[in-house]
Amino acid sequence: MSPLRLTALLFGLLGSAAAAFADEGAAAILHRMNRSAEHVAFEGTLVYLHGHDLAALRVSHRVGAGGSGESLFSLTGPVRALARHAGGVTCMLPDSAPLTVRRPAAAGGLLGGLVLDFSALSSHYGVARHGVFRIAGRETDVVSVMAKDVYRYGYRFYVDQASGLPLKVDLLAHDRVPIQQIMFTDIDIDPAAAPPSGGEPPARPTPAPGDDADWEPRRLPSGFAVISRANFERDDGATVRQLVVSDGLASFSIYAEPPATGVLRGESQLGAVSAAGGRIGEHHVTVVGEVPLATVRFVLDGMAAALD
Amino acid sequence: MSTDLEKQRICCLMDGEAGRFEAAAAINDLLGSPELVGSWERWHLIRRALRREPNDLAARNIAGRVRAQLTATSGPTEPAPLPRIPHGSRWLSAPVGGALAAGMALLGLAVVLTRPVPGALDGDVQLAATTERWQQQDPAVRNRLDRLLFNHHEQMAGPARSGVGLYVAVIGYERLP
Repeated sequence: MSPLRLTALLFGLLGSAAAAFADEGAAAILHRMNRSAEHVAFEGTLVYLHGHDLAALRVSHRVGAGGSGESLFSLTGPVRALARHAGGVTCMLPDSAPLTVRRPAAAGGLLGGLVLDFSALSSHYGVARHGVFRIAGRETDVVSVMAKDVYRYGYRFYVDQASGLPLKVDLLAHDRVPIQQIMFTDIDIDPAAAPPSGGEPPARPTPAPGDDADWEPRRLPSGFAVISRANFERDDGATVRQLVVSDGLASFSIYAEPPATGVLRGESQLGAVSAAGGRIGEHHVTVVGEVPLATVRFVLDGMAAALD
Repeated sequence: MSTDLEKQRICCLMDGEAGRFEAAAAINDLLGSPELVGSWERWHLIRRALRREPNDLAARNIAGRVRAQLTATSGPTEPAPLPRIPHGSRWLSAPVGGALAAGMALLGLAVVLTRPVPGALDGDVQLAATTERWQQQDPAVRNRLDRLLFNHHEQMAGPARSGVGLYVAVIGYERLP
């Protein structure tokens, strides 16, 4: 799961159960960060470090009456661009045709609306505050959200004191070694856009009961649960079924579809995103999300073992 | 119909000359217009060829798009009896000819990219060098994984949530030469 999303997620929750965190100051910072990620308009340049690869991107986040929108544009290497708007997301990559994915009509922003169970969350993450640090010439508060097992990433946020925006986000492995880092080198923030004081976040969505099909997971890593189900059509008209799974911060999806060409067989990664795919009964199943490879492997292996 | 101004703005964007606050507007123009997307694709391919950067033509599905364009502009796909064509007359109807012309334009571009270009491009022009996004050589697999990931992100983020953090890994990922 991406840092901002994570942030987002995190904080819908904090409103009612901040005390569950070890550090209430950290919880308040994260709560504000979550709201800012949604309501504050900005434009800036950030660097993305993954492994030994470094890239620079120009990004903007707009806020308007019709909803928010973002654009990302690579400043290094082959030209890449992405725009996200109310209808979905369109992406131009150097190694594929332009890709447009419409936002599912039922998508309600699970990240923003999810209410975390802090007692459960504290079983899998530890939250702490680490003082202040300067990023892009601005003062930030540093807060970490550390994973307690290998099935989720940890995060370290550098949250702008003035706006609440995360100006640097480190994604951390279980041993606290950074996997990827995203950092603004300069940023222009719309001073008129401030996070509104919000009320209680909406209740956590209750997913429709499953049909107990043979592809549904019989086991998930501790703390993860199915939070949403959806169906959509493939280009050839076949139905693809989706389960969205989250522990309240990290998330991934399980997709089941009729076997076809061009599906993932085995494991794959893109940055911190992991994916695993294989045949489960009469379906091809793909598990994908911003979680460690161990997580998607655990889920897929569990589904395969259930058929044995 | 895209305006010259929009095309000019896309050119500036591609050359890295878009103004500090113009890039976002240019990207919106670009991704909201199929015509501009087409222009972008063509410029992108040519630019990469001139720079001797690899172009994965299979990934761009050029053959499929030519076929789709032919199908779209030539009417029913059922084979019709060939009309008797008087000697010296036009050998194709206008729509089919136009479709073929469009297809040949794309195919011509493909030829340019698959052959060493003389002069400034002496040396090897890499064709379809292995891309390592997702560590998958098959572009169909990469495309499908992109779709599944985007769909997951959109399910989680919702319309109001910032997507910057979600997609940084997708846009930021690149292989060094």
